[in-house]
Amino acid sequence: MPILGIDREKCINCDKCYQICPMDVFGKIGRLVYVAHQEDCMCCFLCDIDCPVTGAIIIDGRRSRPIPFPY
Amino acid sequence: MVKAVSRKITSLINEVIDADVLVVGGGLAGCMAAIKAKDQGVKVVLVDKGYISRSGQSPFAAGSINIFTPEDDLSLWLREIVERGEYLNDQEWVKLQLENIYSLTTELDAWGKEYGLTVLERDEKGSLLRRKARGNINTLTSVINALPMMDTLRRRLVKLEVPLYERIMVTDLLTEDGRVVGALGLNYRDGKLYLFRAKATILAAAGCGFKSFFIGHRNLTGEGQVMAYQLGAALRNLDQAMSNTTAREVDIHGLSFMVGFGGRFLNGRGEEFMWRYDPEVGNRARLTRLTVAMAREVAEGRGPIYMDLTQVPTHDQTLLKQIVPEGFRSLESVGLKPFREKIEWMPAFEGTLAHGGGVHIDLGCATGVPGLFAAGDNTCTPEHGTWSITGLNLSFCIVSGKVAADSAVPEASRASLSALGNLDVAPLVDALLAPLDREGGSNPEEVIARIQQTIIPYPVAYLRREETLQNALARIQNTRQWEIPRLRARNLRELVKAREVRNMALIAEAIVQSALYRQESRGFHYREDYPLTDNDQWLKWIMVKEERGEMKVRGEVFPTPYIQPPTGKYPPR
Ligand SMILES: Cc1cc2nc3c(=O)[nH]c(=O)nc-3n(C[C@H](O)[C@H](O)[C@H](O)COP(=O)(O)OP(=O)(O)OC[C@H]3O[C@@H](n4cnc5c(N)ncnc54)[C@H](O)[C@@H]3O)c2cc1C
Ligand code: SF4
Ligand code: SF4
Repeated sequence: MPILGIDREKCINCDKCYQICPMDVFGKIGRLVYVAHQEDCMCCFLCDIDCPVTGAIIIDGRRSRPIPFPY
Repeated sequence: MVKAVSRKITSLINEVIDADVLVVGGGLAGCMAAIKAKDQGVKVVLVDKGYISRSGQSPFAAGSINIFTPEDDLSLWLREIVERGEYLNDQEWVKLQLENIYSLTTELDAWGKEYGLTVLERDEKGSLLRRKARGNINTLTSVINALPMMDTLRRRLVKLEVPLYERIMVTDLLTEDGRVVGALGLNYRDGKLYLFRAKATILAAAGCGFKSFFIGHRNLTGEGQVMAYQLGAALRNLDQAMSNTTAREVDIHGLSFMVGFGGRFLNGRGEEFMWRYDPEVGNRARLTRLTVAMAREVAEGRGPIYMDLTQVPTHDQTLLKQIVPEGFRSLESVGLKPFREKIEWMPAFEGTLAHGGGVHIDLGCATGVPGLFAAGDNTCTPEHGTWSITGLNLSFCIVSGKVAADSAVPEASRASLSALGNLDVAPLVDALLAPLDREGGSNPEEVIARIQQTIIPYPVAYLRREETLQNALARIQNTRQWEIPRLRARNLRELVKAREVRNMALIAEAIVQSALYRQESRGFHYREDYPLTDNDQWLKWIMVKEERGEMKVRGEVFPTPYIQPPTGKYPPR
C-alpha cells in the first residue's frame, strides 16, 4: 500500500500535507488532517518531504492501484 | 438580452475572475510565463489543478538542465541536439532556446538567492557545475535543484502579487468569434465553478501521462492539449509518445545515475543484453533504444528484465541513495535489497509528457488559435525532435514560458475583455456536470484501466505493427463512442476523473493514429513492419487536427535551415 497513515502522536496538524498533495489524498475534519483517499496516492513522497515532523507520515512504495504492465 | 444571459451566468458560475493574461498550469513553464508577463505590467492570473510548486512534473525533475553559456560553440551544440533529435527538431527553436537559456537561468538562480535557496549547483569559483550526462558528446549538462526551483518561483509569484487560483481544474476554453477569451474551471474541493475572462491565454498544463508508471504525474491527463485541439490547434509528433523505465514493483527514477555508476540490465538468462543493441554504450543506451530492446527481449522469450546494481561500488551506493532517497525507500519497503539482488525492471509509459509530443507552436508559442499560446510540456516540445539530449525539457519550459509571455502581453494589449453576456457557458457547464446526473453508466476508474490496457502493452507502445495499432485504435474508438458519453460520477472527485478519462481517451486515439501514420521507425516510434528510419519519405511532423468533428492526420514537411539531414534509409539510431 502507498500512504499508510499519519502517526497521530507525531502529527502537529500543521496542514502542510493537505495543502500540497498533488493527488488530494488528505482530508480535514476541523483541524484534524487524515488520509482520505489512499487509493489515489502515487507514492511521490512530497507530503513526507514537506512534513515538519520526521516520521509523522507513513508511506510504503507499493502502488495503490494496479496498472497494466507493458509485458 | 445581454442582461438576461449574464444573469444566467451568475446562476451557473460562482466566481468571475478577469485578467489580461491567464496562465493555465503552474509548473516550471506556467510560473515562468506568469512572472514574465507580470514583469511587463499587465494583470496576470495563474490557475492550477494542484498546489503551485508541488504539482505536475517540475517538482520531481531529476536535476539535469541544458544550459548553453556564452563560452560555448553554438553551431556545435545545435548540431548535436538536431542529430540526437533525429532531425525532427524545429531548428529555429533549438537556436532560440540556446540563445536565451543562460540569461534566464541566471535570473532564476538570483531570485533563489534572495530567498536563501540554491537553484543551480555551482563550483567553488561560482561557475555552473557542468558534466557529461546521458546523450552528451560535445554539449554539457548543468544541475538544477527541482524543489528549490519551484519554491523560488512560488515565492516570486507571491512577491509580484500574482493571484494564484489552486485546486481548480480548467476544463474548457471560452471563445468568441473564434478567439479564446477565457476559461472555465472547477474547484474540486468545494465544487465552485470559476469563469476566467482573459485577453490572452497561455496553456502550460503539460501533457497526458495516462496515470501510468513513474513518478509524480498521475494528475496530468492532457487537458491543455485537448482544449487546444478542440479549438483547431494541431497536435504534433504524438507518434513520439515517450517512456522512461522503472522497477516493476515500485516507481523509482534516477536511471541515468544508476547506469552511470555501474548498473547493468540483465535478461532472464542473465545476459547483459544491451551490448547487442548498442555496442558502443551498452547499458547507457538512449531511452528510445532501451525500451524497444527490453520489449524485444521479452517478446523473444528472454524475459524478464532486471536492473543489477550489485556491482556498484559502496561509496557510489551511498551517493545513489542520496540522489533518489525516496526510490530506495520504496524498494526497501517492498522487501527488495537493490545492492544485494537484481531488481525486476520494465519500461514506464508516459504518453505525451516531456518530449512525447503535444500542441504545435510557432517560434512565438502561438498555437494558431487566436488569443491562445502554449508553453512547456503542453506543447510539442519543438526543440527535442524525437528524444535528443538530457535536460532540454527544463530549459525549454523556462524559455517557452518567457516567449509565451512576450507574445501574450502585446496580444492582450490589443484585445478587450469579452462582455460577460456574450459568453455562452451553459452548454459547457452542462456537459461538465452531466456525469453527476447519470445513474448507471461506467465508473471512470474502470475506463481509465481499459485505456491503460490498450495503450501500455508493448505491441502498441514499443514493438508496433499495423495490426496491433489498428486493433488498439478500434478499442479506443469504441471506448470513446460508447463509454465516455456514459461516464457517471457520484461526487466531485469522480467528476474530475470523468473529465480526465475523456481527455486520456482522446489523446490515446491521437497517439495511435499518429503511430499508424508514420510508416518508418524513429526515436520512440518503432514499427516492426517498417524497421528503418527513412529520411526520403518521413522527414515530416505528424499533425493531428480536428476537422468537422473528425480526427485527421497528415505529415508536414518542415524547414531545416541549419543542419541538413542525410538522405536515404538506415537502422534507427
Ligand atoms: C521524475 C521526472 C524526472 C524528470 N527529470 C528531468 C530532468 O532531469 N531534466 C529535464 O529536463 N526534464 C526532466 N523531466 C521532465 C520535466 O520535469 C518536464 O518536462 C517539466 O517539468 C514540465 O514542466 P511544465 O511546466 O511544462 O509542466 P508540469 O511541471 O508538469 O506542470 C503542469 C502544471 O499544470 C497543472 N495542470 C494540469 N492540468 C491542469 C488543468 N486542467 N487545469 C489547471 N492546471 C492544470 C498541473 O497541476 C501542474 O502544476 C522529468 C520528469 C519527471 C516526471
Ligand atoms: S504535514 Fe505532517 S505534521 Fe503537518 S498535518 Fe501533515 S502529517 Fe501532520
Ligand atoms: S505520497 Fe504524494 S500522492 Fe501520496 S499522499 Fe503523499 S503527497 Fe499525496
